[in-house]
Amino acid sequence: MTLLEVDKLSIAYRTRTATAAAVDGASFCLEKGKSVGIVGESGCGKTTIGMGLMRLLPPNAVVQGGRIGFSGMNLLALPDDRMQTVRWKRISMIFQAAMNALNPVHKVGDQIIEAIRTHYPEISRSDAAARVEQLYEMVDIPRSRAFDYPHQYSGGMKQRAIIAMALSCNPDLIIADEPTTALDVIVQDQIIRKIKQIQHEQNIAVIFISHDIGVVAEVCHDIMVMYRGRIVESGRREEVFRTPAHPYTQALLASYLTIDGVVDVDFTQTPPCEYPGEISPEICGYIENCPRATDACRTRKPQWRELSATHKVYCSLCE
Amino acid sequence: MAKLAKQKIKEKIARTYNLQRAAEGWALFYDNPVGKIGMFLLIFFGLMAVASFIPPLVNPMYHPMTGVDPGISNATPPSLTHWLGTDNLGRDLFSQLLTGARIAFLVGISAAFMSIVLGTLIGMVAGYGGRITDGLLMRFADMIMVMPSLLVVLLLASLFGQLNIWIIVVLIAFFRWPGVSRVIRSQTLSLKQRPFIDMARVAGASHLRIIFRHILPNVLPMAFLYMTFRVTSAIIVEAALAFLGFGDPNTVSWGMMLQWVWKTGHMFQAPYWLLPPGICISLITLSFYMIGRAMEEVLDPRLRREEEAAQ
Amino acid sequence: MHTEAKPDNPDILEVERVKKTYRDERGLFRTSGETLTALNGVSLNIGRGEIFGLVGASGSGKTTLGRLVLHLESMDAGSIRFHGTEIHSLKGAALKAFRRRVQMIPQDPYQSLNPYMSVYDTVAEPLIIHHDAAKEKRSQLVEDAIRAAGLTPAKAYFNRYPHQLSGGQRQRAAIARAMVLSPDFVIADEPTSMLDASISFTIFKLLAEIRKQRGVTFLFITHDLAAARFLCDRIAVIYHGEIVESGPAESIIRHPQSDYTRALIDAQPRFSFMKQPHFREQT
Repeated sequence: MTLLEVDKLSIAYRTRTATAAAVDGASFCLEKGKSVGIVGESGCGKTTIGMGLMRLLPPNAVVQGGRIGFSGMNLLALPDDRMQTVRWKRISMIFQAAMNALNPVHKVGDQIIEAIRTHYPEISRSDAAARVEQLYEMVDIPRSRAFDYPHQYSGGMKQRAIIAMALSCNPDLIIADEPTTALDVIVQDQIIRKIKQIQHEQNIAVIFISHDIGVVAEVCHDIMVMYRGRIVESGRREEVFRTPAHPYTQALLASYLTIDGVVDVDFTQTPPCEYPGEISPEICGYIENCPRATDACRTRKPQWRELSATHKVYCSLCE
Repeated sequence: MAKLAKQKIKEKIARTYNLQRAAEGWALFYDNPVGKIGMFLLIFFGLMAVASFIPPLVNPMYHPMTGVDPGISNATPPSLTHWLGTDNLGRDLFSQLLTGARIAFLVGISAAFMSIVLGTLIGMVAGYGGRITDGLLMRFADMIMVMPSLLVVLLLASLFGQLNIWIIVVLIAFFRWPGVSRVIRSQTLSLKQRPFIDMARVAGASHLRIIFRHILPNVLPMAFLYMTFRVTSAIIVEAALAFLGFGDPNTVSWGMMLQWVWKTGHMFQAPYWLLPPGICISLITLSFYMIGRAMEEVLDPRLRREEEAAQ
Repeated sequence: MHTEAKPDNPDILEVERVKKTYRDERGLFRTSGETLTALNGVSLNIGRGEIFGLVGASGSGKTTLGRLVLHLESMDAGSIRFHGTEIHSLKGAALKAFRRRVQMIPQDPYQSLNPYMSVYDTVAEPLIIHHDAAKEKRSQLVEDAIRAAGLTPAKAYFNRYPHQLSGGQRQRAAIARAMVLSPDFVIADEPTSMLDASISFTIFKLLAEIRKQRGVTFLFITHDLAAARFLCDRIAVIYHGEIVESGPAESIIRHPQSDYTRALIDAQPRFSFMKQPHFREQT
């Protein structure tokens, strides 16, 4: 069952002098209980997609078009008060630098109770407190620590508490934006495992946003690679890792250092060639850095081409 | 020789970046109505100051200090020969007002400049020097800051008689640097934590080099901002001193004009004499203040960051 | 020339039982007395021409050790000898001479370049400080350093300012500045932690290239074991201010001795979903 269906979403930022596209025609689907990872370098628009889904974009952002279908609703057309009920109850978010999201002057447990009771005023304080303990069990923090202050927590515990908070209203979808970036390798690994485990156990859909393709691959069923506001490749993680077709994905994997060496990328993969001889001003954004760009790439618009039912690439290459 | 010239040109090109940045800042500044109004007011007073040289050339009786209209022996309201009227000695008020603008600029800018130079230097040294240097300099700054500056100047004036305008300028500067040095010090403290200062140390740079080559350019914008606010306060202090009778009697400033109105008992008899200098003092301080506020917005790191993030 | 570094190489740097404690000075009267031990008796030797990796989590003391070796902070106990000379007793001209031989590649390229200095001024500054080379020769040296750091054409970067450069370009400018004096020893403190993966990789390759070309010795400080293995001859793993394990990179990864190193290795992404994970060995 499709939970989320994003169709040609375009978001731009207005500045004093110009409008800069941040997300350009992004389309993807997410099944209930599945996870998708968005990978890309900083500034590629991956965070903007996440914020767009939550409708929490900064004031100078403009949604230029598209549709966000979420269990039968178009989130972009929803009035603000209805969006309030979707946000957090049905879609929650783990923010970038979430460790600073906790208010230092309140006990962590109280902050979670507050979050629950804001959305479900009918739940009593003691019921909410019971829920907090349950959540703490889920994220592996001792119950006894539930009512400590944030500064008494380590970085990893804060991140777990934030995850608990995101889980507090039983959402269908969690958007995790770089949830492990500031953490140490070992803690990062634990958090990733935790997110993965919860995702399986609770059957929650997850959108995992990261600059680190390795982290994304550990968590997600599907991977989308973004470059300069466009999704350039998407597919099952096995497909993307084994036969990356977009030159940018190939470069990402070729430079990914693991402890055993470099991931052995099959560089020979090329998008299937079926090009109409069209000439377009809209050329590929990766062209200046692409090691495989041909002269033909400069004149034609990249196109979506399918390597399998699930693996697609947006490229202008045709050899 | 040619090589040297080439080097000079190269350096000039290198500075274009700062020009470009200045242009961006200017655009942001000019977009702000507060800055625009302030700027226009300032240009207006600037023109007044420049024009102050003209009346005495037209006719010596328009000299603001010594020129007396032989046909007038009392304060007269505006007329064709004296656009704003005359004072009780028959001196032309319009030319006095123009000269007052010149003096206001002179006093305001030179006192502000001196206090900024002093405050920036001391602030940087205190912030960079740390612990003992910092403690000593800042306690000294505190001492000066809590002194009632007007009272001290009044005391000095009554001790030494009439003060020369330049001594007044120096005194104003001396009492106005501590505020600047506090701001610059805190900026220096945060700059000191920035890795490029460590990089300079690793490269072997001396303390002087770090202060002047690495810290100074980064605090200069803030120093200039504070200069506009200091101009405001310097003009007000000078006017207050002059009005109370402690100004330089050989200089025509707006404060002096007000003092003459008051001393000759024309306070409520001659609005054409009282109002123009009063309004001018208010407007010129307002204009510097507005410019400062607009500059503040240009320099505000939060606004800047938003601008950068949007790019 | 590629010097396969061996432990029996003449040591360029000897760190011996170094201790460093920070005092928490937040309390009233600055006497709250809470102390934080950053380094608790750290010893290590770095041989000429090798790339030595110091691997640890944030707060492990690895950056503090770098700062002590650079003589940016004072230490509480122990000794740090560079070419046999204790560096923390250096003063004046001797310290300046030390500064020209030991350089640093900073962590954060967004913060480590003076925003008001052009690339040319940034790279030329060490030459000016050390009165190296006459003016005419100076611009040639600067150009060479910028080119060697991979910014070409070098002259096109002379008048650029940090905000006009990408993160990777800034880091290259910082590398050019570090290399312009031809130092013997360079400390690279997490040089790529702020950069995207594909750019990090090119920076690592650049560092390896510099070592190969000039025989510079590197202390490479990182949290990333995979990067350390890629770049380093030997590795020391630091945990809570103590070195838990050190030795050739290869053997540490293949046969970790301490529990912490083992945990660190286990936490690395393995891509177990790939049925036959195959990796290329990188040399």
